[in-house]
Amino acid sequence: MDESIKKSYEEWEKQTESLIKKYPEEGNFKTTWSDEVKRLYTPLDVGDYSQIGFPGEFPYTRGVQNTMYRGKLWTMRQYAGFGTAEESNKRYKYLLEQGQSGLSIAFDLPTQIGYDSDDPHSLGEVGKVGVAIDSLADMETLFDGIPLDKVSTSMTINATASILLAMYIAVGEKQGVKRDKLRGTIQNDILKEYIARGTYIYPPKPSMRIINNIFEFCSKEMPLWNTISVSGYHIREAGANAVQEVAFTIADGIEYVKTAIEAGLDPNVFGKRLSFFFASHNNLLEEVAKFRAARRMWAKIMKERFNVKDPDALKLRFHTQTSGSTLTAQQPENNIIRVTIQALAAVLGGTQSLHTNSMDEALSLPTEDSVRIALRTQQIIAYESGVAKTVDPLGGSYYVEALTDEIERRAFDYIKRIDEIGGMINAIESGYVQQEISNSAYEYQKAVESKEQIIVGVNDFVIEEKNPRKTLKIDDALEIKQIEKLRSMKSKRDNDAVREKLENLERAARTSENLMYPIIDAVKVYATVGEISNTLRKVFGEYKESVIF
Amino acid sequence: MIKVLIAKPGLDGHDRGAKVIARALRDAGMEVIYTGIRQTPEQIVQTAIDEDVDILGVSILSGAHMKLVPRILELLKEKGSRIPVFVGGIIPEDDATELKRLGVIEVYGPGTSTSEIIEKIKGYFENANI
Amino acid sequence: MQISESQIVNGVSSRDRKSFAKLLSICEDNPVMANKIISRLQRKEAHVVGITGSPGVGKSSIINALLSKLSRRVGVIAIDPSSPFSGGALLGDRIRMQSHATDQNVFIRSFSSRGALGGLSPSIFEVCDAFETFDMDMILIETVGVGQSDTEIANIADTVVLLLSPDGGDEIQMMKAGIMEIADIFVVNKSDNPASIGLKTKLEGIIKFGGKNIPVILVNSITGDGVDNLIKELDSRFERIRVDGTFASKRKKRVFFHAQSFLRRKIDTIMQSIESDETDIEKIEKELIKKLCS
Repeated sequence: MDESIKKSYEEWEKQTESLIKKYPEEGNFKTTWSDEVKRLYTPLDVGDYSQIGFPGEFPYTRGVQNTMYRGKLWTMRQYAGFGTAEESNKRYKYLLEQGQSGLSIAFDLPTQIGYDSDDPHSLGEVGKVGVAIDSLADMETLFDGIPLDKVSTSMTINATASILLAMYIAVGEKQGVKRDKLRGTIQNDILKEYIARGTYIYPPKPSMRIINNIFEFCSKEMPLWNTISVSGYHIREAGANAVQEVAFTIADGIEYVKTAIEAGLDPNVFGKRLSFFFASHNNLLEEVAKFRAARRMWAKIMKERFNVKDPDALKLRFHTQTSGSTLTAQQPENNIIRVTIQALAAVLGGTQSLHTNSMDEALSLPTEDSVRIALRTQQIIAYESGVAKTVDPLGGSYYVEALTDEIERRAFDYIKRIDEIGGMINAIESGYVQQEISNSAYEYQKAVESKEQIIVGVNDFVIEEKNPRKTLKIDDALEIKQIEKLRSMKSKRDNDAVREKLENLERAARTSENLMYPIIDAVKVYATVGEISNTLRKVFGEYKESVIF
Repeated sequence: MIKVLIAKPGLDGHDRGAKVIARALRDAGMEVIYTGIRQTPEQIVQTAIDEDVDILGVSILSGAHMKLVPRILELLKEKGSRIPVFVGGIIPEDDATELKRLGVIEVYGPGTSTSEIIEKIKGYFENANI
Repeated sequence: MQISESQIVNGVSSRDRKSFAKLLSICEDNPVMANKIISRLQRKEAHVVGITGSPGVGKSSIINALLSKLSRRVGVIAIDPSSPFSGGALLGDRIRMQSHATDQNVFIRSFSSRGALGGLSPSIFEVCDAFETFDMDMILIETVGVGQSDTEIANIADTVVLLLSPDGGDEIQMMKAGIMEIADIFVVNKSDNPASIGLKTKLEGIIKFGGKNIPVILVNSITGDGVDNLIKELDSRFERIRVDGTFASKRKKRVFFHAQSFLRRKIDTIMQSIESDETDIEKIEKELIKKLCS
């Protein structure tokens, strides 16, 4: 059959070439990673069907479940939260009353980077992009009246994940909920912080030791807790292309599985507690192919590299967020359409959960109206578009299958290169990964400026815009209030006990002991996020970014 | 030779814009010093003065611009420096107006082309020399 | 905006950072004027230490670690390469030293190599002299770090520190190529990597084989481990070379190298003003001499 298709295809190409002389093609016919896109894809471009396979079966190209959205729609999970613990607590209670069963918590930058609210570094940042937590006192307020045995809590926290998790355990204990009953997730993906997001504290090696300690601790004491969400989102937003997003995220994933094995965990068990987090951009078909390629690659890696037998531990499950960096400040209504395309790509790609961005995010924090439209976008895709009616509806598309193969091949090339460098930690320390991303970001910017890449409303189809829109702002008084709260807490606590527990933590950090236990002891006597982090800074030093442009 | 300091105050790690700008200014023949992320206003101002830069570009996306940029302007003034300052980031319209009133020469929002910024900087010094 | 020579002289004498920053700009743009101003200022002989080694080996980090532990006045001259295409430059060495940006005993300044080969900047001699007028106890020069051609640092530094890391594969290769000859102290970074001990042993073997006596120090530039030993070594060397005459002879040579660099710059500037479509070498030479004498 191939032979006859090949013959017909060649004839068709010949015919087309002669037509082109009269009606030339014009436009940008390249993938976002600069490969040529062919005029037409045919069965000749699609490889072996075993690589496509069936949903719920290795290599999981078509999805991790047999029935996908026919069984259960993806989870529509909108990440939110800012201000003080009191305000967030009210918001969470409201959401729970509305029937939501999971909480997704955003922390402010000082909390994420281990600075107290009164630290000079925190100026202007307290409560800005999430809730401010200085000590267990704030965490008690945050979960006041929320039974921790009834909810599952997802915390976007990385460098200080051990401290926030320790506080969560302590709040649970005060409520009478044992740690083995607590359910939730910490992001805990420090590698992408060095690569792209920037909320690191210590150098990579001690950071990985803390992650190792968390893995070991949770496997013994918190069997229901998801200890890591390997995130490509921020890598993509920093300028990586789709291939790099998949490659670097999976390379991070490999490093974490290695760490788990070092901590004595069985990858057959650990693999089930691992999840991923990707971005979705505007190039619909590339994005669909990206998700499919990522699933196939991870299954192969778990099977071949780590010898995993349990099928559930081979499955790449992921959360998707639409891309904040593609949203424009110009003609912001257009962002609704961008978010729609991106959300559609995530669904066609088989995501397990999805956050849709609000149209005004390129201007400031989103308003309530725009947050609602973002959620409605997901609902329209789910209930009106019909794309959820069958599993992997684009499977078998010649172009999508060819793109899936190509992304996989190129991403595996990157992983090979990273292996040669000696793994992801070396690749990050040497600046290799950052340099690759930075180059892509710069190339993209140049393409935009030369109009090789059109962005509607920005470099083409521009209109004169007036009337600044209404945007939401956060009250600065919050910072002062939070600092006052911190000072009064410090004057009331047992400062001798704090000193003793911090000394104990410092001693433990200099040995190979599991740090989760001394951190739990320290948070219980109300040692602050800043004090605990500073204690570890003394031992581990601080990471300084590589000089990469 | 125009010497520029690109600075990132505040705690957000979104340095994509800062790095793209730094690179574009380099390719336009300027000498560009980059501070790295998480800089305090004090560090930025002392660096600008010690490096004797011609212009200071501040990139900020965390939303803390109304605290940090005025502080930078105040410190420059305190130290008797007249280094011009431009700002890039997610800055709502009314904040941008206020920052300009305080002395910022230009505020660049998302989607600004690097060539626009380059032309503006070059133009600024051509005019200043006349 | 222009400030006068006298204002700079007065400012630098009273340790005004802004005046000193201006003086450094003058060193870059107008060496004649710079030398004139410097000659009017009081100078203190500081220990000039060159830090060299391949890219990524941790030169900026080690300087940062030194700054944290040296409780004295230290100047840092950080040099990055210029772009051969645009002539512009990205100066990023500071990133790792920014925690010292507001330290009143520290003055960090970034320089572009402005096309110069050899790992330094065309104005390095003027700049180094200028730092000695700003009451510095030690001046640290971070070279571009391109490897073999980074040997010019020996013409200006009293002490050359060669930084190596166990992660880099080309280290031994580089040493064979000749940069070893100019090193006065070897420092092996990333002492937390077990391979660093192996590298130290290997180096000591090579040094012994070469019949030399050069110290090899293990450090971790991120935690600061071993940096005290490096400081001790630097100080004892400085004391030693001041006694045994090495320092005096180095300084004497530095004046000659300074003159050489100054004249080269002058010629370069003139060459740029000569029409590039002139093809007769003799004519160009005559033109050059005429302009040199005028």
